Amino acid sequence: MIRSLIWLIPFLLLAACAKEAEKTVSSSSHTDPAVAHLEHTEKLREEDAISAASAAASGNVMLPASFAIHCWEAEKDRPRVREACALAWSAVGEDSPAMAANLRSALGSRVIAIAAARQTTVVHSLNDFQIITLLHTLSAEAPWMRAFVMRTWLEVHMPHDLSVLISIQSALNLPSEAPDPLTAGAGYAVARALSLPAAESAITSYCPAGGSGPALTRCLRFLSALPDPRTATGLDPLARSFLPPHNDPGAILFRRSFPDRGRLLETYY
Amino acid sequence: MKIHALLCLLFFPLAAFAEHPDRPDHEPHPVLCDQGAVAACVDRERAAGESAQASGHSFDAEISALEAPLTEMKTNRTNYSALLGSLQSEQAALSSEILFAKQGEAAPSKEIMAGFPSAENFFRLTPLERNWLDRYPQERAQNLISRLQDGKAEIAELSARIQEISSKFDGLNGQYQSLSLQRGNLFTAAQQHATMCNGGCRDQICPPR
Repeated sequence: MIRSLIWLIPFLLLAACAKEAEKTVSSSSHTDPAVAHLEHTEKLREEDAISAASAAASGNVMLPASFAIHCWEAEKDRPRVREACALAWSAVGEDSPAMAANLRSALGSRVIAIAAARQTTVVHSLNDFQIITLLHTLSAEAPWMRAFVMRTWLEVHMPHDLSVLISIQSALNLPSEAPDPLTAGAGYAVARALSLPAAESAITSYCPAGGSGPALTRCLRFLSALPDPRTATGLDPLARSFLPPHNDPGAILFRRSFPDRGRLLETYY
Repeated sequence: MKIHALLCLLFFPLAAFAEHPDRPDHEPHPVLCDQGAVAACVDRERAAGESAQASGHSFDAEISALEAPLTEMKTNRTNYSALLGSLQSEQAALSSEILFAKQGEAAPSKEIMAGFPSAENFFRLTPLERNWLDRYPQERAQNLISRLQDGKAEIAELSARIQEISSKFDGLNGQYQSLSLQRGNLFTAAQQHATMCNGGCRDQICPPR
């Protein structure tokens, strides 16, 4: 009996050891296994590093800032890997002033500019010159992306210098007739925020007096793209004055066709 | 209202003449004037006037019976026309919606980098913003097309109904106008007879010298 108990002791000790080892591994690494090999991208082939970064971004997996910073330093000679790391970090990355500074230093690169545009903290940290550079780099992208960046930037900035305003407006380069409500709405919000006369003419061009049928639908699309949480009503008074009567047949049709936007418009009455 | 005014116009001179057939306020005509012929003319004209007036009133019931359905038809036609107008404007709006549904509102953005999500998915857009950038699913376009077709059928049905009402209204209104005209003519005749009673006969038979 005693002999068999003696045999059991090493087994029990081994089991306890294994448990302790498991604890140590899980506490030393907070990272998702999906991004574990991005800790040292230099050990990976270019395609594999990019693929790991894109998988992380697609899977909404958090990339630790330390990995992204290491990647940025280590991948000077492989710009695509560096860009992939920056994108993965901007998608779901830990907030990092160091990474923000890295992105700000390379705003001329298309992919880095997109990564910067994606990160609210990076956009907020841009100065007048940097936001203009970013907008210029994004000039070939969908207009909504520039509008999105601009809207984010205006959350914390308000330029007063006329030359800066002109440069921003020029770099923003939104189409006079935006193809989608997000661009139209953001364009209007930007124009309003910058106190540009363009705001009033934009809304008038979207909502001509007495418009009905397709013209009214277009106007309502535009108005439904202007929610502004900073105003008490959610819609600024100028835009509000363009709302058609609640029982207008065109407004009823719009609410039926676009229930989500219709519900939003309902809140403005 | 007009009828009553007309009746007043008719009755006052006739009544006045009945009371004073020999018109005491006028100077008597010389010997050549046949007072008997004047009196006979007055009697004849009075009878004719009364008869014309009675005939005119005989249309009253028929005319007022037409007024109610005519008013109702007019109201219905106005309402249906307004409905048709709103359906037609809905059709135009639906057509533009279908265009959006087929084309999508925004052109898809360029690829950021091979293997990475599209820009629309990469940016932290609200569900509403995502919806603006998304292309509409085929079912939505299909629903809009069905609604457009239903609307077309409804418009055709409404147009036919409006046409039917219009043709009924035109027929009934023609009848109404013709009866009103006949009644009007009879009252005009009655008025002319009254004028004859009220000095007309005398002036005709005993022209003033």
